[in-house]
Amino acid sequence: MALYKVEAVVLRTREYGEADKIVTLYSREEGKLHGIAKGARRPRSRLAGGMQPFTHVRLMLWRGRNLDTVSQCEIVAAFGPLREDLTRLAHASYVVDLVDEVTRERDANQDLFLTLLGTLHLLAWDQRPVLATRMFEARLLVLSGFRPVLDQCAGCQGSLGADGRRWFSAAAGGLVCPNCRVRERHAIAVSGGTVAALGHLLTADLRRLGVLRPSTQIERELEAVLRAAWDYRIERPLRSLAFLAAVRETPPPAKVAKGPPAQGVRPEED
Amino acid sequence: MIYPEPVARLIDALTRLPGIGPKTAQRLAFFILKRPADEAQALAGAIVAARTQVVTCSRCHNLTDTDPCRLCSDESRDRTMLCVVQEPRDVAAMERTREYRGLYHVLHGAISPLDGVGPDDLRVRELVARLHDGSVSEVILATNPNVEGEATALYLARLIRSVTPAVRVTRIARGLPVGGDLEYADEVTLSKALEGRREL
Repeated sequence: MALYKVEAVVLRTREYGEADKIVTLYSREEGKLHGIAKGARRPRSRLAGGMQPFTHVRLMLWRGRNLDTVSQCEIVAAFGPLREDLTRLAHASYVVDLVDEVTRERDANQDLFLTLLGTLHLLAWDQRPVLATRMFEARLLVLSGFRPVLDQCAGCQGSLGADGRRWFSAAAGGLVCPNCRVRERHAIAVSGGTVAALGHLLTADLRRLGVLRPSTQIERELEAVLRAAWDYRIERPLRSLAFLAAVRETPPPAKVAKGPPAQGVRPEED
Repeated sequence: MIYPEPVARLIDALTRLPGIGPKTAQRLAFFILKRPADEAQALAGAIVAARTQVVTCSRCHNLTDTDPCRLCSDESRDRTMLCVVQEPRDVAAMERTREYRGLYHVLHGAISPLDGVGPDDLRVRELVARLHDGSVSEVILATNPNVEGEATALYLARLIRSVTPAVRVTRIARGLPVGGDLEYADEVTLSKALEGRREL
């Protein structure tokens, strides 16, 4: 049977030819795959709405020699807020970029699919998209087989020492003891609170993200640790990271008193 | 090579055009060869003229052969409205409506977080500079209704509000295509149409 169904999240799209799109999907059934959505750039296309990044869709695809052709598309969740808020959009772009970078084609991982979906939910509706991104970074480490070692020294398997200060080494793959730390020149100093928060991000239920209330200090350390862990794994700077940084630097919208909008004209919402 | 060298070169050049494969290129080349010499001359002349005479307008950054372009120098146009579009062909699309009488600003692209296209790669600084003289009272963000276009619109809205708070920023509506069929509209489009409903 050449026609098959998948449930997937659209990771990215690329224009192809006059009106087509090549889409990169992460599906529950088959993992990452590429498909061609014919005519998806025409305004009246049935596929246009669904063939956009971050959309959760159910698809019918025709198996082709190189690319599969999207024949039908039903939107399960569009995650609208991701397209209506610059910060959320930047975080979601980074998350899908990371998935695209670390996964191989046709290598299904249902846990990864569900984690991605859960993260997009949090990014769209949770108050703290930054923390959702940290959680995803941590979970993806586990799902790709790089679970950071937090209970003993990742270098010598010995004790981490009684001192509350901890050192994280991306190269060693976790915390390192004071002795091993000397060799790990890029190790990052972290507090006990950060280690506990990281442990929570690695294991807790996605819906229990709300109980975590890290201080600014811990948040900064979490970001540094997870950034270092991923930089070590992927070796190539992700383009979406530059955008995330640019969004951070853009001044937040100054709230201004707006005059009454003209008939039928709605001022753009942030 | 089966073809004489000049013909092969022509076919090769035509193959570089978008949507033209080797077979089509061959057909076009032989069509050109069959036509009178002055027609081929005119075609070649038109290509060279377009390439050498067209520049981007120093004000709106649309493609033009005069600087400032005809739209920017047209005194009858409303100078308080500025419509921001992604590409020069979007200006043509807006002009076809005959509804809009303001000025334009062409960004030459859209912000794309996943492709590494940021605000610095677009004509954003030039847009902000145009707003500073105070003549523009409304900016209409007419970027495409896809993720890249939305990202660009959100970014510009944020930026314009912070540097020139007096300027009103609006976004073109998203919804059902005229002559379309409700049943065949996708969920996102339909919900956008519902969101942007108007009183009759």
